[in-house]
Amino acid sequence: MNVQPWINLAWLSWILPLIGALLTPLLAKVGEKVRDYGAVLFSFLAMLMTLQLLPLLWMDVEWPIHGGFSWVLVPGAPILGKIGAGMLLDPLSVIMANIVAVISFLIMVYSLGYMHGDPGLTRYWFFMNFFIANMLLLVLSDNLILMLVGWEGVGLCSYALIGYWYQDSKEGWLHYWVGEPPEAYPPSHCGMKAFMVTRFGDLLMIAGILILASTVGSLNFTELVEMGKNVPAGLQPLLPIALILILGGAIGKSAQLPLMEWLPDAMAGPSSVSALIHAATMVKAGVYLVARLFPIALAWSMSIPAALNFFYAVMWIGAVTAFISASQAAVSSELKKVLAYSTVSQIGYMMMALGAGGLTASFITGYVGSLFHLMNHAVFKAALFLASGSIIHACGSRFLRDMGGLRKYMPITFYSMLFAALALMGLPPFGGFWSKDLVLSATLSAGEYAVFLIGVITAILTAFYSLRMIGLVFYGSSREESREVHEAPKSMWTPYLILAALSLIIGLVAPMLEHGLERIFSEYLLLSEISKVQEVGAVSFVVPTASILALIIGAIPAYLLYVKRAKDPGEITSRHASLEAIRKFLFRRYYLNAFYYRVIAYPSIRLGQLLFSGFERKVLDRFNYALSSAACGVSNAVRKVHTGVLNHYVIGMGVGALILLLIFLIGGA
Amino acid sequence: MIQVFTPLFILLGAAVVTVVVDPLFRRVGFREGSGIFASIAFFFALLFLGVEALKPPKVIAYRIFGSESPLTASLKLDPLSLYLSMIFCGIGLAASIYSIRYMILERETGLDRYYLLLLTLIAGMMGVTLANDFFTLYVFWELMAISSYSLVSFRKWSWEAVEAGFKYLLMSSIGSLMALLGIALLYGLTGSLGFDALQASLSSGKGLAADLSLALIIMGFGVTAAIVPFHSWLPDAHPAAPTPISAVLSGVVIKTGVYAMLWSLFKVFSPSLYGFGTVLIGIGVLTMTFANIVVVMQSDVKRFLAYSSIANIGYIITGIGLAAYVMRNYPSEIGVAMLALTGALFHILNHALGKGLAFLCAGCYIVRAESRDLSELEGIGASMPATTSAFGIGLLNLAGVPPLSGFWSKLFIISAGLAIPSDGVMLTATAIFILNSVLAAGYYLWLFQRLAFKKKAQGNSRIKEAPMLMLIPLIILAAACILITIMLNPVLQFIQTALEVVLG
Repeated sequence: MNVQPWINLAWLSWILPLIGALLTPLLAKVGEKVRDYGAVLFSFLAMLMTLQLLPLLWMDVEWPIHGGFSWVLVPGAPILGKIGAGMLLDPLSVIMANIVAVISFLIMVYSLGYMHGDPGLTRYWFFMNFFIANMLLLVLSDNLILMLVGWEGVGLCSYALIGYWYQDSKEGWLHYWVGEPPEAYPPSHCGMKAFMVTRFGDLLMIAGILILASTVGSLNFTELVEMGKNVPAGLQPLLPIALILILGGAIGKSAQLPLMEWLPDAMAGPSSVSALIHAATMVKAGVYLVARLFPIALAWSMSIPAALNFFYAVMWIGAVTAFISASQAAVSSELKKVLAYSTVSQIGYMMMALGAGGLTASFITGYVGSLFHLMNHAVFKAALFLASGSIIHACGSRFLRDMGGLRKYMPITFYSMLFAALALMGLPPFGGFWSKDLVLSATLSAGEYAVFLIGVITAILTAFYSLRMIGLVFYGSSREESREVHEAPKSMWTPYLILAALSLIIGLVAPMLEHGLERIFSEYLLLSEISKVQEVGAVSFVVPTASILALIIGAIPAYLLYVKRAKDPGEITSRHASLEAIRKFLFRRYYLNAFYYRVIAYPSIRLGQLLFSGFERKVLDRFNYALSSAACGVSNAVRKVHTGVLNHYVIGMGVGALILLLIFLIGGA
Repeated sequence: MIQVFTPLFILLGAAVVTVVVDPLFRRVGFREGSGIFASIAFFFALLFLGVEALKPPKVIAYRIFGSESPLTASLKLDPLSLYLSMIFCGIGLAASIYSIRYMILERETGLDRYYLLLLTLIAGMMGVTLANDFFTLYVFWELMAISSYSLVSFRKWSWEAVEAGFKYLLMSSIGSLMALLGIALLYGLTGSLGFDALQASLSSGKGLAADLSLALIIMGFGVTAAIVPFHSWLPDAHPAAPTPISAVLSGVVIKTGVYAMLWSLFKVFSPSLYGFGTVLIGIGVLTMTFANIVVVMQSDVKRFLAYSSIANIGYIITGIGLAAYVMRNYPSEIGVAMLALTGALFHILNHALGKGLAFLCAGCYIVRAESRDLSELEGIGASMPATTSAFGIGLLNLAGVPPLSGFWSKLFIISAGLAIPSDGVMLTATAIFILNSVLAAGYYLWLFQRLAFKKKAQGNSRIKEAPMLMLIPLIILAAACILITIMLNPVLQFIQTALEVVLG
């Protein structure tokens, strides 16, 4: 088969939105309508390109399809010759690219209505398209360096779009800020925070990449498995270390413990941005990276057992994060923050599945479970965020206490959000049920019962906070001003209605999808020479039972408290001091956030100020000024040679000629 | 056969026709006429060269007149001459388009002579790369030299231009004479002037006379290449010329000297027989260090750029010297020599684009601000965003900021210099090279910072963006810088084939 057309599609799918981003400022000169629709058009083109890749999944192709070129090819320069760029198409990248492109397009359409009339729209469209381009580059590139380019590109866009309302206006407090005092932050602060926190992970990741480059000698995903086996035995212990370091990057990007604190505050950005970047796509990059390294780590673990620690780390970090964030979501006072905690928690689920998968011979359950959950989550969480954007728009506040009884006024939003929330809770037959099932069975078949238990408890909490959110927003007494609240415009509700419907449709065809994914991936991953897999045993009834039980256990109190409003939860906590203490502990994010500020952020700033006034001003600057004035002095002295007098010049020339002649005649070439 | 030399004849023919048609253009009041005519000539010449470059590489020799050896005048076409001709012609085209508007804005007269000289200048340079024997080479060499003397003192009403032109004429003539003496010695030794015949007869040692000739050729062509201490004409001559001519002089004319040196040294004298590598490395290192030190405190933007051209010649000569040194002392490490030469040849292209672009941008500033003084140009970037963006790309390319192509060419030379870690000469030269690159990056960025980001100097407030016709060549050159970065591999492949001609 000629692979070039497919590879070209892969290149185009990220280059087109990149062109769109670069054209945005020019289109803005033509007119606002042209700019807005132009931006949406380019994201549509990106989607068109990736959709054309989808048939590959059904075709009988030899995975992976790989095409690239060497940027620099020079004989005599062995290291330079390795610098190249290429696109890698395999089931993982094709599925990821389609999730990204399709959801991006829907969110771009939503933005037409949601962002209408905002003064900074040129910046908005630029960064949105730039984000889509970088995200697609991230998932389609064939080596770690090119992936890193996309990785940092999406990070930049995340920073710029979280701080989109960078004026930090006090009047917009109810809209644009995030958190309540003492943890209330303005948008520009949140953008910076996201950037700084992910930096820790990225640094570790770059260190890991450097170790791989120097030990394995290649960073190409297609070569890492094979070339890793040739690493001399003395250097082999470095490989698991490199994997763990790269995992650091994934942890930062996907907001896992201990680098999770940036994501809840990233909600200061527009809701469309939260939906696209901080729910559906960018935060999944870490999961994608782990899935990408999965076969490599698995293959290496055959000869280096320490590589299994990678999977243990992934699993435990995922499990603990899933629980912690779910518990925080249960007490949050802001609509979008509930969703943000829930995102962190659900990504923890995906990580948990991947990690557990790597620990069993039947790794396919965990792998597919994680990807399937990723797909489901992208769909329903995007729907939830987009709908929450409409609600915040309508209510004029991001706080749950300012909402309530909206069911009557915003029926389409209500049903969309309800469907998406049910998918999140994992109610059969919604998509979430099936993927949660796979995730939990992966932990069981790995024999990690503690992790399974954490997963079930998290499911209870998930059901609780999802229903709590629905109850607080749509049920209860409508507030006075709610009468003026009305449904969002069509361009806004269409995307999230589609996504909500999609979460149901995926659920209806889930068994088929699951089977298809398992077939594709077991064929593909076996190709990369991983030991033969035993077929999964008969599906036990333990997992679905546990999952549904968890759903019921979590939903009943939430239904009573927030939908039926049988009792006032505030009253309950005020009566029991211990409950109130727990609530506050959860609300303050286990005091992790405060801890980071106290122990890392503020001391670093103080240290920086000290170094600036003490070291930089007094030592470095003086050295630099001395250096530059020395350079100027030398320059001024030397340039006196140029007198401008021709005679001097010719004499200089003559002396030079004489010396050269002497060298040649005496030295005798 | 003769068709492959069409570009050369297009330029020479156009030069003649310009003189005829310019009065006609002037009579109908179409003052841009000859500029457009010259630009079209350059464009077609470039087009022909481009078509030739896309064909599979080959070497063609064509005898103009005379029987076989000893005295014959002949032309050749190989990938190396094609590569350089394209660079020359490209910069010529940019300068010519730029001149259309520039010369009118500057109220220059005698445009027919101007374009005639520009065309013969580029034709002379192309001829040098196309020559297949020393006789032809020297004829075209003088065509180039005389055209450039005249262009430097084109503003004959200006005291500065006349003095600069005179210096250039005198010093360059000395250089030409030295080269001629070297060639004459070779003729006396071997009785022929054709490169192939010379190479054959010089393959056995010829003693002192050959060494003397070698030294004379290095010095002679070195004057045009502006190696220290034969460079002192350049800081006067390049700024004095009209700006598009400065771009051509600094961007490509000095490279003709490099080519003539490279070709005679590698093709006629073999580097494995004659140990000129160390001397070239010494010259290169001295040249770049001296020029880089002097450039820092220049206050005239054109002099600033002119000095930095000398430094860049130093980089190129060092690359060539490293290659010669390796071929002489480590004959098995031919890959390292290839890498150094690739870097040197690639740097010729990068510097031509970057420096041509920087000079043309500086011209825009000078036209608008009516000053060449950096202190008066400070902060002009805010008023001329398009020009300044192009200027930035050119300076970053010159400074060798990754991923731009200027970074790669320097990196190749440096990595060749580090390839044999046991060799002290190469290591020392490379260390100095790296230090120089650091200093150069510093002053390029400083220049850009002063022009683009500083607070506006007094009286800069009413400055407009440069006219469209002057911006077009800037955009073309800036786009070329970026395009070459993207298409690094094809360009490098072409240089490799060109190198095979040199190394045989």
